[in-house]
Amino acid sequence: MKPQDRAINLVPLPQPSSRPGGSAKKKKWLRLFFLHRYIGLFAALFAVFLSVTGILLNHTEELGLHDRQVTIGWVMKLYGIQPPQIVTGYTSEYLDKPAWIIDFGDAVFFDQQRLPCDPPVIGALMQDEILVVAGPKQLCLVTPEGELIDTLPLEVSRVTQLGRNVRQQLFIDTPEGNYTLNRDMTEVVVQQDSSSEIEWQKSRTPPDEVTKVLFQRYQGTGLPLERIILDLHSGRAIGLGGVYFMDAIGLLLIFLAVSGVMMWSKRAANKKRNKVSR
Amino acid sequence: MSRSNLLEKRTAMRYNVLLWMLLVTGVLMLTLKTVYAEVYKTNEAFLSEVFAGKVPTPAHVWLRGDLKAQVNKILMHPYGKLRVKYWKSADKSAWILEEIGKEKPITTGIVINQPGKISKIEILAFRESRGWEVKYPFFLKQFLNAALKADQQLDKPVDGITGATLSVRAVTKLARMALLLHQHETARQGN
Repeated sequence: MKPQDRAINLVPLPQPSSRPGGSAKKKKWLRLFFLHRYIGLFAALFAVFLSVTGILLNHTEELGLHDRQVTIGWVMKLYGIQPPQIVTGYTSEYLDKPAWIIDFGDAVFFDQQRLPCDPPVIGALMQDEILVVAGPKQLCLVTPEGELIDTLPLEVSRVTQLGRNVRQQLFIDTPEGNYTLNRDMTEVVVQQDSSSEIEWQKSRTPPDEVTKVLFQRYQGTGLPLERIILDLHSGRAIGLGGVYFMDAIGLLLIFLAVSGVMMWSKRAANKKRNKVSR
Repeated sequence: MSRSNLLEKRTAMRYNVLLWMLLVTGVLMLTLKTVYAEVYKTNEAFLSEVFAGKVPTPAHVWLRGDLKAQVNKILMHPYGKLRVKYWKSADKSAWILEEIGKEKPITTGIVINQPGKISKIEILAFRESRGWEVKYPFFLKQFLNAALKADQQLDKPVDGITGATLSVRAVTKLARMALLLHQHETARQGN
C-alpha cells in the first residue's frame, strides 16, 4: 500500500484533550516535563562535576595525581589532619628524668608515644609507676608503655589542677575541694590531708625538639591529589552524608535519562500521528 | 481558565517542585548525619536490678600475664583496659563489658552465677547503625546457662542473626570473656 492510500484510509485521531481522560494524561506528561526540566537544572552542575572528576580519575597515572601531594591548610583540616595551634605540656619525673605529657590538640602524647586518653589535659603526674592524666571530668590511668589501665570519672566536680605534697601524695584540685586516689587507684576520694604544702603543676610550652617530631608525624607529607579527587567524586569528602547525596544524584541522572527517553518517544509518536492525520 | 491564572498556577508549581527537591535533599543529608546511638539501660539501672538495689562495692581484675593472653585470644585483640571492674555478691558476679561490633562499642551487662553459668545478659547500649537485633530476648536467651569449655568456647551453640554477624560475634566474645574472668576471680579468691 502506498503511503498516500494509507493516509486516506485512516480517520484523523482526535486531539488528546478531546479524548476521554486526555486532559489528565496531558497533565501527567506536563508534570513529567517540569520534573525533567527542574531535576535537570538541579543535577546539571553535579553531572558536570562527576564527569570532570571521573575523567581525571581515569587518567591518574598520566596526570601523576597520586604523586602530587596537597598540603593546603583547609583541605588538611577537612581530612582532620590540621595540627593544633596551641600545644601545651606538663612534665613529670620518669626514670629519673623529666618526661613530657603533651596536649596536642586532639591527641595526648607521653614524649613521642600517643596515649589512649582524651584531651584536654588539665595535668599529668607519674604516681607509683602509673601515669595519671587528668581531664576536666575524668582521670586516665596509663602505664609508662602507654597501655590504658582505667578511666575514673569525676562525678562530683571538675579538675582544675593536679599537685603533690612533700610526701608525694597526689592532690586533685576542684572548686569543691581537694581529692586524691585511693590506695589501689580504683576510686577518686576526698583528700583528707589538708595541712601539707602542695606544689601545683603548671602547664608549659614544650620545647621545639619535642613538638617538631609530633608535628611532622601528624601532618605527614600531605594528601595525594588522587585521594582528594576520588573522595570528591564519591562524596566521601564530606562524610557519609556526601556518599548518599552522590547516590541520590546518580538516581536523579537515571530518572533524567528515563524521562528523557519517554518524552522523546512520546513526541516522536505525536509527530508521526500528526503527520498521518494531516 | 484564563491565561494569567494558568501562568500563576505554573509558577506556583515550579516553586513547589524546587521546594520539594531542596527539602528532600536537606532531610536526606540530616538523616544521614544522625549518629546512631542508643542507650537501652544505664549501667546503674542494670546493677541495681541485678543486686535488687544493693549494689556491692566494685572489685577489679587486672589483665596481666596468662589472663591477658587468654582475653586477647577470645577477643582477637587486646581489651581496651588493663583493669576490668566488676560487682560481686555471694552467689553471682556482674560484668559490664564493651566490644566493638563493626565500628562502635556495644555495652553488654552479663551476670554469672556461682556454678559459672550465665544467668542474665542484656545489651545496655548499642551505637552501631546495623545489627541492633542482638538486643532482643530471642537472641540473648541462647546465652542463658551457657558455661565455658576448656577451649574457652561456650558449651552451647549460639545461632547467628542474618545481617548482624559482627554484633553477634561481639556479644558472644563478651559472654566468653565474662565467663573467663569470673572463673579466674573465683579460682583466685578460692586460693
